[in-house]
Amino acid sequence: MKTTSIFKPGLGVLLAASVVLMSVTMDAQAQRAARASVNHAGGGGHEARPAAQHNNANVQRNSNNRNNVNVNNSHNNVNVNRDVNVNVDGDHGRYYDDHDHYHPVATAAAVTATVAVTSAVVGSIVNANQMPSSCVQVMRGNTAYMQCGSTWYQPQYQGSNVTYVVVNAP
Amino acid sequence: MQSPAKWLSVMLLVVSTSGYAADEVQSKPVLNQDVINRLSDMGSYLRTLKRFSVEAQVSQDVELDSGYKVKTLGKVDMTVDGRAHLVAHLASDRYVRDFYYNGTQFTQYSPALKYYTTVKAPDNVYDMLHEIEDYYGIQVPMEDLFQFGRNQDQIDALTMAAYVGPSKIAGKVCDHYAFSQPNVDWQLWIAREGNPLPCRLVITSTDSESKPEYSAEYHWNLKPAVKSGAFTFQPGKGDIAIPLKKADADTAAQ
Repeated sequence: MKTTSIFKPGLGVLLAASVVLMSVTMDAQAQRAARASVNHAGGGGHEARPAAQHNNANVQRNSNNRNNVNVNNSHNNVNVNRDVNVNVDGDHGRYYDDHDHYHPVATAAAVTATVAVTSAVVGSIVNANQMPSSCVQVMRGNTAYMQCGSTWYQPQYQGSNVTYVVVNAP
Repeated sequence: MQSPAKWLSVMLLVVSTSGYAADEVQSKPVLNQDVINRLSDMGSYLRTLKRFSVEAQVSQDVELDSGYKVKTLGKVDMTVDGRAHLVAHLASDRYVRDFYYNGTQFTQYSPALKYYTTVKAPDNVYDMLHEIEDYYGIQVPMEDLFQFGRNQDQIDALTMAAYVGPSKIAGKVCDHYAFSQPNVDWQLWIAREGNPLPCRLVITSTDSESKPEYSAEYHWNLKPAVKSGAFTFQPGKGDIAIPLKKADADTAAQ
């Protein structure tokens, strides 16, 4: 079964950590921001942050997979929307907050992402910079979706970052 | 108000201690009670402020998986009215967020994306900050300003509290202090004259190999103009409500 995907839920998880100044803008780069607070509930620093630490470790491991388009192997059995053939090497700035399309650091990663997207797993979470380039926002009732070919995404906040969940067509 | 002579002697103590430490394999940590008191006094003072506005120039290192540290710059301004009203605006190189809190609801808004999310919130700013961070993973900028010296656990966690010396920030003399606790080294500058307001804060994450830093320089306004209604988000044309995912997402198992 030909099922490749550039979508990496592991990276999406990282976004749940508190990132105060910077969202992920550099394609496929795992990131971790410096702490912005020394006080936290319960005192004694940052016991309430083990999730972020854990996620970071997770991403570090995943980073070996960054150039490997088959990172979603475990989900192949639930793949939908195969063979969409979206060219990812498009307008990566589209969904960034800053509308700044000049992302020099992103170049290398973007090149590796020129493979065709042939699947998007329902329930997987992607960042703006992992979205295909040809998406339109569609409202269904009070719910916003991004429709990218036959793949539908629903935007959500994870912490202060906006991520996109692959959903079935509404 | 502490006398300069006293601070000088404290400073000399630090210097002499560190000189002594250079000859030792393990230096004895400095826990200067005067410094801890000054921290607590500053925190107590901040909590007496009924209404204030503070603007901060912020920088924050972001560590890439290659170990490279990227420094991001930004500006935060925040206005607080009483214990149940807060509005904050964060504009960094990479993103913009607005935060509204009116005593019952908390809203996060991205002006560029036009996405907002509103959730129920506790009735006071302290509990709100905790809940928003613990439950939703949102860190409201400058939350430290509400927390310094408030929690004895936080004080107990300090492994170092030392006076470094005077420092001139934005034309004013501020006293520079250095603190350590597990995973974090941090430095705080407190205005020497007048009200004990923080001038600057630097936080170094020591549990990461590249030791990324966060830095904020504060500018205070204790008599801000406050508009009623400024603390409740009003969606404009084209604004869209989206869900706010609970922290510790189920995807953590990936």
